[in-house]
Amino acid sequence: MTHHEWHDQIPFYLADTLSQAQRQAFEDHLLTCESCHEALLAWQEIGQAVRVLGADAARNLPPLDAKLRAVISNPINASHLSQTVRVPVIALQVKRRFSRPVVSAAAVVLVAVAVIALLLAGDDREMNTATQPPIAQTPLALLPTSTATTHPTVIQEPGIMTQPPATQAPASATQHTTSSLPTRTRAPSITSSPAPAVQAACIARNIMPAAPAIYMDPYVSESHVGTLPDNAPYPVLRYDPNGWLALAVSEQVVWVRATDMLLEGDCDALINPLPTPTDRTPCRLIAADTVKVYAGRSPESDILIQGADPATLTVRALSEDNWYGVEFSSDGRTQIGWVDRETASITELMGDCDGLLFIQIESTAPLTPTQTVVLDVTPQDARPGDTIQVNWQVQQGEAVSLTAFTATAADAKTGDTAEVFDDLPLAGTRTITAPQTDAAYLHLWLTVATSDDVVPIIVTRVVRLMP
Amino acid sequence: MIANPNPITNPAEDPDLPLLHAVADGDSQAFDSLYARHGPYLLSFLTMRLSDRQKAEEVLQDVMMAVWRGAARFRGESRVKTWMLTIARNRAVNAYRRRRPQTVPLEEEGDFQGTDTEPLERVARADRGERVRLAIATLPAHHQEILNLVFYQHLSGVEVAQVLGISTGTVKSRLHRAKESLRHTLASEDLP
Repeated sequence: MTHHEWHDQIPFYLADTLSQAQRQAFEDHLLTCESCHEALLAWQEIGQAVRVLGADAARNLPPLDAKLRAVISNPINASHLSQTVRVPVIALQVKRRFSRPVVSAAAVVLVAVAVIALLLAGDDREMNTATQPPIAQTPLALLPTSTATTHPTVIQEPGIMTQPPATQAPASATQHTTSSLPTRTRAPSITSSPAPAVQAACIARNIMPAAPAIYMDPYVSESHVGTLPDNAPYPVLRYDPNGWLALAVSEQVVWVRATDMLLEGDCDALINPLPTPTDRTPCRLIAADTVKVYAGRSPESDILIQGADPATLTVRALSEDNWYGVEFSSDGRTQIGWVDRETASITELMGDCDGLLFIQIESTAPLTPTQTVVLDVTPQDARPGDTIQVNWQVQQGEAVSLTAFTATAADAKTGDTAEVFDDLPLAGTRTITAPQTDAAYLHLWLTVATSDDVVPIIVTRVVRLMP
Repeated sequence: MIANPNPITNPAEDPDLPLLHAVADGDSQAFDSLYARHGPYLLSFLTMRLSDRQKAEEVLQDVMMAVWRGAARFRGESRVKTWMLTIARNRAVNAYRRRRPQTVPLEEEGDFQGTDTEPLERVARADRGERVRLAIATLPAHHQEILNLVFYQHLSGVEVAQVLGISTGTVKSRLHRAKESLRHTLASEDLP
């Protein structure tokens, strides 16, 4: 082992994470190596300081917050039942906060029928309430449209949740709605326990310590009329992905901020963006010096404008990779470009910047090791000095590395590192000489980093070392 | 040498594995137990990684949500603790990326320089142990996190590599650089 390799082991020796054999070998070496002894003292001091800092930081563990408590107290949110929903390309920040429990097939059919009926009906304002399933048609017929944002009115339609006459509704819709919705002639008392079928549709409940504010009009603070009366589940009538939910509360349609609520059920079907109100102060970006606006989210992109007139830059979006999507006027035309959040000297964001469109970067689909990573190792038994051939092929991913280490157990997760090959191509071959060791196995780990945010893919093979 | 409170085990013998299986089945008591066992370690890691206690507590809730939702997908390729630290690390990186730009009002600009150099001045005034701790607190996030993983979490080199998504060779070189940075900061103390 080289001088550097001994030094590399010192932090792990002090942390007691070396194998027995490594520890013994290091202690033997330490007796004769003054340099290692000095480094050991230095690392000892560092390790002691880190343990004090670490212990200080670990004190006063906060309790699990109310939002998490609400999720784990609902059996339908157990992880073996949960769906993983990856929102493609453009997702909205508010959506990432919500639970997405499994919904029953009946509920999916119910909402699907409603949505199809809506699509067939065309413009919201022209819908014939007598021909639509009530759960989706009624709120959309009643909610403000682009013409209703500046003059909010209390919507108090007597027929808000009324069933349409069975003779006028499509047969399929009638069957579903009759069996799943309360048969009331007025809006239901929302505090009552919903029937099981209704629970599978999109509902929202407060998860904040304080009662959320309710508004008569989304985006208009002045339309604030009070607070949500309780934490009961309320049917969601419309879901504006910029952060507003329309709820049926006591025979009225009111709006709440989506960030205050936990959504359950199939809420995606209700996503229906509102027109951007014209009376909101748009989010604007102020920079200290010259700002470059790129055509794409890369410094390699063309520069659309470059100047010191940032007041005209209206921010419309924020991307996960730290770019602001900005709107600006050039040659009498409105254009969209990108400003690098990291390098631009942005001193201030003004206006309503909380509801910016959040652009999530589509990550590479998680690799499935058995399908996309091939690792062949031959032979499976080797004697010291034998050549072991390792072939690999990775369909997608980055930062491929191969680590070989010896261990006494076939299922060990750590041992004595023998060799490491970094920055490997996606496909290739390496030969490794079986080491002379007391260990019984040589482990070969192919590590592939991906943009999957859980763990890198590691595919392992084990060669049995014969004496 | 400090005895490792969590000696490396075969993942199949990981005492946390039954707990995680119970969590995957929706057992909220098992989830509480898992949080009680590992919450302090995760909080320690996140606080050192983010240098922001409040943000660390926020991200911790996010991590536990991910643990709750991801328990059934745990592939058993590592210890449960390593898996949870990997999630914590990735969430911390995301939180750091999404931070709002720091702005300083113009009238406070004069104080900004003084505040910026304060940690180094404190290093010069403190006793030896305190000086080392303060110097560590001035290290970049990627150096602080690796020191926490090695000396506080007691992860092996392979596990540290797994949590950080880097090779074991990079683990060693990063540790070396962290030590060199500290030596530079504490130059007058002859730290080798």
